[in-house]
Amino acid sequence: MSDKRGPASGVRPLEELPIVVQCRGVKKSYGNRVVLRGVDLTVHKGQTVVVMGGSGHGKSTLLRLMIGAEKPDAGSIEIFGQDIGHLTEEEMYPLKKRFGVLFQSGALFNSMTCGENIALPIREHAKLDEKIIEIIVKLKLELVGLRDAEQLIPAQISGGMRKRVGLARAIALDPEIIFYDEPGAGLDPIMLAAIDELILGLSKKLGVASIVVTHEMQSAFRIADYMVLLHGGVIVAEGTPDEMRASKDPLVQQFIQGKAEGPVPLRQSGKDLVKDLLEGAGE
Amino acid sequence: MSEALAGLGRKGFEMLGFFRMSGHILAGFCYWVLIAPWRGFPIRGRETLRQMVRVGVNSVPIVFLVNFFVGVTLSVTIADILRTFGVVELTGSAMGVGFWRELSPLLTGIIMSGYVAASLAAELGSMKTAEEIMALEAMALNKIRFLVVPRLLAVLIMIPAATQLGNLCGIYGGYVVSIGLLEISPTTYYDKALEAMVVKDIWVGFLKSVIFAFVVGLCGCAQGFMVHGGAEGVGRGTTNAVVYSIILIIVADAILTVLLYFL
Ligand SMILES: Nc1ncnc2c1ncn2[C@@H]1O[C@H](COP(=O)(O)OP(=O)(O)O)[C@@H](O)[C@H]1O
Ligand SMILES: [Mg+2]
Repeated sequence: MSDKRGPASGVRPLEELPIVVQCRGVKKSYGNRVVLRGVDLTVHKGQTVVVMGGSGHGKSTLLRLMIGAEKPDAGSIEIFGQDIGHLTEEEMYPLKKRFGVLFQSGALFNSMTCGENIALPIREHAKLDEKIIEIIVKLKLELVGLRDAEQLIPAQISGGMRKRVGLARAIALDPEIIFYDEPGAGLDPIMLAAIDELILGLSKKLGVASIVVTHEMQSAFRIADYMVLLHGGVIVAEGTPDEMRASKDPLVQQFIQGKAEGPVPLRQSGKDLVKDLLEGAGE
Repeated sequence: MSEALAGLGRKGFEMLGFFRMSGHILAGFCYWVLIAPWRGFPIRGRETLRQMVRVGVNSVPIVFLVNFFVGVTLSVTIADILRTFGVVELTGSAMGVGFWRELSPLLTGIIMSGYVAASLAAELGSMKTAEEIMALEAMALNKIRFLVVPRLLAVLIMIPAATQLGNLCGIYGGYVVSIGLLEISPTTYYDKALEAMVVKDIWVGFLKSVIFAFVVGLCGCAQGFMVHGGAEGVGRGTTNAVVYSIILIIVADAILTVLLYFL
């Protein structure tokens, strides 16, 4: 455990805290489909950064790059000051033990009970007594309000519950950074608020940095220290929640107010619909 | 024409990817089985046992059944030929050598392609699409150590074991018709079967079964890890695993048989 803690008050002088994640000019394509065109992102210790953006604009891709599941085509990503672009899988293990990830679908192991899912990383990485592991598992499940689910297998619980168990697993080893891919999707508003409290608590009490991909605007404003809007593979707007709220950028306003009309077209094809249909008929 | 060529190119590319993945898995498997246990990363024994049960429970009865009936068919066919030479009592010899050396390894390998390679590819493929494999690696847990080693070890134990028992079933199938239909005495059948067999038959059969086990396990795991694109991708990977496994077993069998002939 680190001896430095984020100040408990709402005002956090971020610049003074160490940087835990730094992306510089990150690019990524799949085949000839360009997903990220150069993303810069800095996250400080204890800070909660919310990443917003339409679906299919590369939020999950950016997350996969930051956790080292894939390599960027260009640019660099530093975690705890180490450039992960040049590390092998084995060299990344010490870093990986220091962060937790909540995947979009929860990504629980279906062959294990929820309790075993949470116990797995603890058992493998912290040489602890089985009795203590059992206690930790119960505590983590209690944090997400699911102590009853310990003996159930993932197929027996709902999608929202799977996500909460996934969160319990992500925080099993008391990580210093947590990546969340749409933690709110599939949760009811009350549970969502509880998860927000949890994220805030981790950040304030333990100095955990969080990178949260979310569409839930209410929740985003509740937890964010800093917000970025990812659009078309680049960050088009960023700032504190207040700055974002006050932004004159119509794109930002469309996003935070959740309007169908605005600079972002509903349809993502560049082609004109009529032209597309006629071309198809002409063949 | 150009489309056919492009399709062929894609297939070739996919095959190349498969062989690269298999090589990667095999190298990792060797490391985690032979070297890592000495460095404080033991093999997960309980999980391996669980996988052995899973590999064996459905497939072994089928292996027995198929070997038995092929034994019945083959003994009658061979007896017909041998009778024209007046040496029908040699049926037992042909059955012993034929099963031990060739038929049981091949039949077991092919049945296991359908059962085990398919189920491994389907399981690992769904884990991949559900982000489970990425989650495992994000927890700093090695996918080869956690997923491949218990499964491949189970396959490497169960397939040779099933092959050995399959031998007995095949020979027993021949025995049943020989004494029932062909009027060969039980003792003659077994004596001839044992008499004809040499040590080489036994280790050749065993070697083949081990190599086929590697083929089945690697095809299942590699195709599973290569799955992309949802449920349809899992289906494609499963089919590929079976097809690759059967073809590679038959090709490997031919190469081995020719090579071992000269030994
Ligand atoms: N493995 C992949 N192969 C090909 N294309 C991909 C892959 N992963 C993501 N993409 C594409 O990248 C784009 C961004 O995906 P993603 O990061 O999942 O978006 P988001 O999470 O913002 O909804 C999508 O258009 C998707 O089709
Ligand atoms: Mg996503």
